[in-house]
Amino acid sequence: MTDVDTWWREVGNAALVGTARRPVPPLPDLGAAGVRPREVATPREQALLDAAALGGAALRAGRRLDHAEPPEEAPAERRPEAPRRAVQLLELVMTQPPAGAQQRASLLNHWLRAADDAGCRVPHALLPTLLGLATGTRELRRPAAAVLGERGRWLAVLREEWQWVADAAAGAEARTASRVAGALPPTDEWARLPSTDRVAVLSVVRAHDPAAARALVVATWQSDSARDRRAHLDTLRVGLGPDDEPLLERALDDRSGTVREVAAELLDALPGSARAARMAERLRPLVRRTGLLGRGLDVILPDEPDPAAVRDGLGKPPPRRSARGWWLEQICAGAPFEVWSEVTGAEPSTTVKRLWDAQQQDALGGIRRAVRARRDPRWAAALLQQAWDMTLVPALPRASRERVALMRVDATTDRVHEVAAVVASVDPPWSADFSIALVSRLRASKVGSAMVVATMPHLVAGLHPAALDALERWIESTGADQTLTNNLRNLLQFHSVKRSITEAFR
Amino acid sequence: MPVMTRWTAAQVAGLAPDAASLTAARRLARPGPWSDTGSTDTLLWGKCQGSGKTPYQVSIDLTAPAFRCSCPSRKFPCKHGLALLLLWVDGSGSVADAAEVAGFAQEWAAERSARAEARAAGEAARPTRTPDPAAAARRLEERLTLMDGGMDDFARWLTDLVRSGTASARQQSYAWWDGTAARLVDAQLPGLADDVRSVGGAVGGRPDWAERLLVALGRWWTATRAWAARESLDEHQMGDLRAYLGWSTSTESVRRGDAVTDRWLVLGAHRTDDGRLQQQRTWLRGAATGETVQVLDFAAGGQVLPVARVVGSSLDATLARYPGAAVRRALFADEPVVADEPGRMPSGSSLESARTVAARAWGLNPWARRVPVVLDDVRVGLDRVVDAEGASVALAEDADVWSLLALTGGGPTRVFGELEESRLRPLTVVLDGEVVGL
Repeated sequence: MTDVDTWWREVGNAALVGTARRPVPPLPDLGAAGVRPREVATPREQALLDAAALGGAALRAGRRLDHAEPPEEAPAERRPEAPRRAVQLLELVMTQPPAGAQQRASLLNHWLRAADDAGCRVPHALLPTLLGLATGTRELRRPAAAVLGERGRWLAVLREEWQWVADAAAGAEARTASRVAGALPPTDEWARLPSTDRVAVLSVVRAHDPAAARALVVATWQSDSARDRRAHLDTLRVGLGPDDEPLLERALDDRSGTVREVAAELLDALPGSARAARMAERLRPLVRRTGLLGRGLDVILPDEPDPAAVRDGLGKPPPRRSARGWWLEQICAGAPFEVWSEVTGAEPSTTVKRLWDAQQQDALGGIRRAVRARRDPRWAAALLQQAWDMTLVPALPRASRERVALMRVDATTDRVHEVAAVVASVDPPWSADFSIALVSRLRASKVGSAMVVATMPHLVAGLHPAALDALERWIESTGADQTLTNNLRNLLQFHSVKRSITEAFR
Repeated sequence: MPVMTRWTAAQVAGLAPDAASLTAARRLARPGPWSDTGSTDTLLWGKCQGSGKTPYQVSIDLTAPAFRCSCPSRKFPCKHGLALLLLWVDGSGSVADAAEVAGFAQEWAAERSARAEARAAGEAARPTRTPDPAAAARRLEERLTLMDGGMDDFARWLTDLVRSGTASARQQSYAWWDGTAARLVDAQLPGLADDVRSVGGAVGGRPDWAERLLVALGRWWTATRAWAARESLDEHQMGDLRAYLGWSTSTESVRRGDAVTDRWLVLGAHRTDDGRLQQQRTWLRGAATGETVQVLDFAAGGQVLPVARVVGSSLDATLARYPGAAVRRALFADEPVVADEPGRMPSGSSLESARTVAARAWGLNPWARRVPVVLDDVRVGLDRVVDAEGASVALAEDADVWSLLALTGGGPTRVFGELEESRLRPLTVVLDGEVVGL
């Protein structure tokens, strides 16, 4: 074939500079193709165009195929594909998000987690779309990585934009493993994960085996950066108990101020700790009963702290805060509540009222922090009797938490942002009763439309499916208010799709 | 009715006249506002409670598809029609298969089929109503004269171009190419004009421009020679040449001609949209004849392409074929009926044999841009496919490589696609015996 190649190159050269300047090469012998030169002499231009036509046809029909090594094959799947109905829902959520585009990420997140809990994976056909979405929405990456399956991980390696999958999958795998039957990641393996994944794994381990999580933290404590030490200590909030005290006590001597702060804050939650006893010692001399019947209460400000007290957290006050007031607050936040009962001999509600009457803001501030840290329902209720404070609501048991929130909603009718803040204080998911009652309160409000706008994110996260009928009835009566109708529809869609997803994995 | 014949939500979305209609339809696509819904193989109906007292009556002919709704909206299809389709597609049982068609839908369907029959009768009657055969012959004569002149002019332009060389042609502005194309359009050669515009537009930017332009010159020259010798071409060769030049063949004359009744497997489909014109190619293979034909649909200026046929389904239909020697175009002579069982993809060949088949097709029809091929045991890589013999061909630039990789995982797969001069555009893969369109 070399003379055909040479001929075609020559034809190309002639075409480039023009037949006015270069002759057209004669046809080579094409053998079986049976093409003969024209019998009559043709002008150069036509000869060149003839040659181009012939060469083009030969090039197309006669092109040799390249040879190449086949690409590497994806490993076999280990998880089953998600059920058919679930797959349809995933497709729907990805390509035409019901309930508006804003809610897509949260529905997807729900789908991905439900699939992971069910031990399923995403079907192959939907992998590129899912990878594309999770690349753009960071919060989806970890849950997506858990259900991509072998095919998805294999695919992600091939594309630059999808390189995040390898890291996210390692984290997801470790978390899945640690969740399943409490399998612990080997310490050295855990230590090598990226920081965010170490924290994620730690959180999961901590949830069902606090001691094992603490052991992990201790294992790398010496070599971790201050930032990691702080983040790891932070995960101990969950399942915090007396066994954590030695580590926390040690962290009070840490080089890093932020680590020391977290340690002190965590110790506030342990009223049986040595630090709490030291705080009690500091508090006792400051509190005394006043008045003829001893029904008043006075708390005096502490003096300059000694080094031991500084180590316990009586350090430099925050800006614009009196130093002695701050120390009192720190002492009250760390001391056990028993100190108050010892001195006053009264119920928490009485003690709080007396402090309130005496305008002991620093002491009350400390007690509030202690309540939040220890989740003490009695003291929380006592404080809430004096004034609304949404940060205390989580300390109440769920039933009274929701009851208190509803009472507060009733008390703040039509003040949209306050209602939104109250609703926000009840962590999702909500009970059926609370959800139904809240919907009826919102519907009864004169500014229902604005209420829905303000509470939307919480309604999305918290509402119980039992309230959907009430929502539907509300939609039927909204009349001309298009914004309200749209918002309620989106809310309804969101929850019904979410429920369908949950059911599809059963 | 088999579940597979229900459409996908994406197909419904493709019918929406605009994004707002689709959004509105999605809101309505839940059981709440609907009553009296039902469906058969061909019809879908329901009543939708809107803001007024009487619910809107919605009927959809799934075969066309065609819509009717009693609402006042001027959007077409309106949100109620789209919503009903979405609800039906959803398949969660809100629209059940029904044996009996609701009264209002039945009436409409009857009206439609009566109109269709009247139209068919009208078409059948038309040839006898042709006012003046002499005038038609005169118009044809005028067109041929115009085309002859355009071709002579174009042949001169080609010889001038090669005399001064392609290097100097490359220096020309796009307006120079566009001017030539405009003269071809005036001479009623729009297909050739499109080719000139596309080559002229690419000459500036591509590293392999010299060979591409040379090959294009050869193709154009072949067209001028073939036109000059058109008396010696048979009907099929002339049909292929006409298709390339852009001299359309009337659908009536195609319908009158060469019809084949068969069970057709939908092999694959491809859509393109150049901003001006949307095109949909559907490849069909007859079970009895083994012949593969393409059905082309076009839509421009806000028109909607007909719903894509479900890849892998089988259609009982009569197809009328356009005149042509190879890679033939066809149209549905009657409304196809979806067969109950899905079709099976025929077995394919190696790349080498596929290329031989393609070369033979190009020998018969040099104007064909692409040849349909079924390949066996090919593995998809990032930019190419490799067959069991290690032979490989590059993927078309617009191939959906990520879906291909996700579906095949690099394993040996049967693939249907379009083989172009040096590239392959896979359109369909077979996974565990199931035919999956890309």
